[in-house]
This record gives sequence, structure tokens and C-alpha cells, in this order.
Amino acid sequence: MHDLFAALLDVSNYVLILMLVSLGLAIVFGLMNVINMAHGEFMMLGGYVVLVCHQTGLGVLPGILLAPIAIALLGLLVEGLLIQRVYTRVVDTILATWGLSILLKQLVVLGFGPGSHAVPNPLPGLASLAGLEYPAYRLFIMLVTLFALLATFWLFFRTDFGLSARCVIANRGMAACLGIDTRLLDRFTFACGSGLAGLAGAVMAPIVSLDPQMGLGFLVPAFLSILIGGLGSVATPLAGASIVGLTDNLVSTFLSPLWAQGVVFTVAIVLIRFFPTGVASRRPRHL
Amino acid sequence: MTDRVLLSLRGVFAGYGSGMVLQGMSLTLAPGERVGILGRNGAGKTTLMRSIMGLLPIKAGTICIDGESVAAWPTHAIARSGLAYLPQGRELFAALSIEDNLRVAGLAAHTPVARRVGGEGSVRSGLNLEAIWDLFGWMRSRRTERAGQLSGGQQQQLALARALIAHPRLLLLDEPFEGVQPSIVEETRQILREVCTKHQIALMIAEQDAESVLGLCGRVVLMERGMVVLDRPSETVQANPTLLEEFLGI
Repeated sequence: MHDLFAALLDVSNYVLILMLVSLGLAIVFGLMNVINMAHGEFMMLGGYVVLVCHQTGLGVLPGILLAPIAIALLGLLVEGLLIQRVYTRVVDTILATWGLSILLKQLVVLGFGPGSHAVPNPLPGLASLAGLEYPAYRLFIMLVTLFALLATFWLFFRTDFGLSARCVIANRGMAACLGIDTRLLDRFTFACGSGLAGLAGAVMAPIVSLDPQMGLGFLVPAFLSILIGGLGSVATPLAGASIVGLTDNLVSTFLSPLWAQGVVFTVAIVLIRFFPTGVASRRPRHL
Repeated sequence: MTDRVLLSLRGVFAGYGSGMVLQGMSLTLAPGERVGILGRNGAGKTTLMRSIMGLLPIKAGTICIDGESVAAWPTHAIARSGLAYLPQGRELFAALSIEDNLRVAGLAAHTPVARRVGGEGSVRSGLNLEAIWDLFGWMRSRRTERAGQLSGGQQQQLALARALIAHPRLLLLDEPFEGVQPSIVEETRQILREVCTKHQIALMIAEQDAESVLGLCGRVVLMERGMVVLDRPSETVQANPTLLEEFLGI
């Protein structure tokens, strides 16, 4: 029984991180129609920000706090230098951000070497949860990601910014006719999406080995989550992330990690066959 | 009316791809003036409005608001200078509630854009959510309903309310009465007349049907192949029904 509970906690851990990555990818695509192939690298860089903070003695926890801000600023820079020049051409954005992802990876290789790095766990030890001893840091990850998800939803569904953003997602031209500065929203949204990726990488840093290639391992399931969940909304990728994360983790735990990938892709194919617009989006233009 | 000019177009060419829909369009509009734009399908009425709003870049000519060329302005800046646009098909945010549809349109009206408004000196307010509820009584109690679930007539009124809530100086309406039952059209037209008079809002209505604009606008402009072919006060047109006949083929 305890094994199952622990396994479920592990799954939740992974699902929440995946949600964070997918959400960042989805809000950028939803608002700007930009498919950011460098999203995984933004996540990876979030981890390296924590590494730098650890090496300079600033500490791991301040690093986790700093990383999303740093990556959001990087996002702002990338939007200004790259995205805004190509954002009306979907295929070009894929190529441009793919190039950016290669560039970022190589810069990290130049700066930190191709090998992997480790960041110490800032919260070692176990916490007791309903009679179960569970690593404290993993609970911390769950709390932080949950908080970030809720904050994102608050931003999009409870604020004037969010209302404007949802209008831009639904109908960019009409939103502009109402006086909404769509380019300003683009910039801010891209920064938010990047920040979410940075945060995901940062909280993961102490429990994975950091290397320049780690982004891809999350970008693929994040894309899969969006495909399964459906687009056109801020919420639907979360359903996709749950399905992808659950399947992957449960199969890995109870069968073998070798099977997990195969099962995840099979499930994805079947679901997309029966729900072409996504399991969570009832209508194509549902918001 | 003073001889000040709110909106002016001079020799405007615009279109899609290499085809020009507007071919040397010229038109001026004074503050508070109401003009009906008549013309057949394809005469360029929608293209005219999309060009004014900056949704379609013009290829030649100038469009000025308060005498300032707006060619380089993004759409949102044009909107904030006091223009509101109700496009054909209404383009409401179907998934949003009535209140959110109105609220989002009101947001821009409260941003600091004094410079853009062109030294009008007066703060454009007075048409807030409360004023909208007063104009369209049924909306208040149904404000949490999704716009997509409303009937055609209600959607039309909501789209009009959304255009009004920013308290525009000029309201551009593209075939607003299309596909709406006549009783609601009459009611909406009455509201439109009152609001525009009370708040001195200039009006530009594109229509195919002359009857629906003659009573509302002081001036009628007839478009054909992207140009103005007739520009007369409504009384003149009403007194000489044959004027429009040869163009519209009524």
C-alpha cells in the first residue's frame, strides 16, 4: 500500500513538472502561434542558473528563486532579437528557435563543458506525510510547481492582463481593434512562458544530473502533452501532461522504463486518433 | 458643426495581394457627423473600414485622424485615439461572458493615451459598464452568460455595446443590421441614435440597404469600385430617390 502511495507521489512529481513545461510552451503557442523549439533549452538553462548560484556560494534555494526571473529576462531578449522578426511565419519560428536551441546548447558546452553536473539537495532528509517517509525536497518541488501553476492560472483567468491575453488568443485582430497592444502582450507572455520553463529546470536541478542535452527529454513529452490535451486553451495541456506523465511513470515503475516510451507513444496515437482536437478541448475554438 | 476634421482619407489605395479594392478613395468626416456608406457587395466598404483601423496596410494615399497621418500607427493606437469598430460578423469573444466582452473593451479606454487623443482636452468617459446596463437592460441580469450562447439580435447589441464602452469619438459599423430580425434592428437603431447624439459620437455605417441608414445619418456616400461616386446630404437623397437607383439598382 505504501509502495503505491510513494509511487503516486513520484508520479505527481513528474506530472507537475511536465505541466509546468507544457504550460509554458502552450501559452506561447496559444498567444503568438510560435512553436518554441528552444523551450527545453530554457529549462536546461534554468538548471544551470541554479548551478552557478551554487558554485558562487549564493546557495541553491536562492538560485531556484532567481532562475525563473533570469530565464524570463532571457525570453524577453530572445523575443526582441529573434521572435518578433519571424512570428507571423510559423515554419520560420520553428527553424529559428531550433537554431537558437542548438546555439544555447553549444554555449553551455563552451561554458560548462559537455559533461554533467550535480547540484546538492538543499532539503535533504525525509518528511513524514500520512505515515509515509518521503524525501522532503520532492514535496518542496510539488509545492513550488503547484504554486506556479496556480499563479499562472490566476494571471490568465483573474486579471485584466489575462482577460486581454485570452482575447488575443481568441481573435488577435479584434483584440487590437479594442485598443489592446498585442505586441506588448506577446512580449510579456513569451517572458512568462520562458520563466515557467526556467523554474521547471531550476527545481529539477538538485534531483537530476545537469547536462546540455537535458532539454530534449522534457520537450518531447511536453509536445506530446499538448497534442493529447489539445490547444486553444490555457488549461488543456494540463490534461495532456497528466496522461503522459501518469502513463510514463506508472509503466516505468511497475513494468520497466524500457516499455514506458513505447506505451506512452501508443497511448498518444490511440488518443489522438479518437480525439483529434485533444481530449480536453470540446470544441476547436473553446477557450 | 465646426469645420474641424476628425477623419480624412485622400487618394487611398488598398487591397489584398496585387488587387486593389480601394482605388483612390477620398472622404472626410467632421466630429459628431454621421455618414452612411452605401454600395454593392465588393464596392470596398469593408476594405475601407479595415484600412481605417489599420488592419490592412494601405498602398497609397493618406488616412489622417485629427489631421495626423496614421499610416504607421498599429491598430491598437488607432483604436485608442478614439475609433471603435464593429466588424461584419460581429467577432465577439464567444467563450467569454457578456461582462468580460465589455470589460476588455473598456480596459483600453482607461490607459493613458492623452497624447494620442489629440488635445481634445476632455477625458472620454461616461460610457461605463453602468451606462451600458442602462442602455441594454437585459444584459445586466445575464452578464455571466457566454456571448456565444446569445441569439443573433442579442449578439448584435452586445457587439454594439462593446464598441460603445470605450466611448469612441468615431464608431465604424460594418453592416451591423445584417441577419437580425427587424424589430430588434429598429430598437438598436433607436439606441444608436440616442447614444451618438448624447455623447457626440461620429458614425460611419456601411450598408447595402439605403433605407436603414437614411433615417440615421445626415449624409450618404455611395461607393463603387473602391471610389466615392456620390456624396450628398440625406435629405437630398430622400427627395430624389432616383439618385441612388442608377447605382444600386434598387
